[in-house]
Amino acid sequence: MTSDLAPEGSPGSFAWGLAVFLAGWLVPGLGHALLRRWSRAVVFCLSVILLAATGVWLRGMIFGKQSTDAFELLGFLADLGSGSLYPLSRSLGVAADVSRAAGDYGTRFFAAAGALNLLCAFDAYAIATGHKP
Amino acid sequence: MITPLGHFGAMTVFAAAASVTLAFQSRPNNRERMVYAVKTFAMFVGGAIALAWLLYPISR
Repeated sequence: MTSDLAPEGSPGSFAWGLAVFLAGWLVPGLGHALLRRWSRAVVFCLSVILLAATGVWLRGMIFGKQSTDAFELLGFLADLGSGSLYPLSRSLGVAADVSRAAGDYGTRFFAAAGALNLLCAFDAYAIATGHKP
Repeated sequence: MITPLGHFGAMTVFAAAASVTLAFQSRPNNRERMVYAVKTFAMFVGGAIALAWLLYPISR
């Protein structure tokens, strides 16, 4: 009897999907690049970096893991979704200024970058495991 | 101007990035992606302008 499950580590397997997901999460667009979906990789990379860079430029709040309430925890999880851009942005040491609208917008921009990057990583996982063409 | 981009500029940057990303995720070919991205962008911006006018009377 033959199995319709792909062998571990081969294209279509869970392990391959997980590897592609992690790559896509860590570096925006890398998951799709590994799948040779070049146009998606470029667009996702540019979009996520544009949103994250705008968030930092507007001096938005990038939440740390020591959250004090549920909203800060959600903000931290969303920010973490941007993968390697999260520690990079934190290391830049740009002081957040949410006393003005710009900083408030920046907070949302960075969180949106994280959420979009997670969506892209899940998209790469779905393609890698054969759930999406 | 409250942000370096302005309120409308910030909204436009966000709408453009989000709509193009969603279009590439959900549509298989370039023509469908373009239509989807334009529609989503218009809904983001149009929705925000409509909401702004709806809230305008209670903002004063």
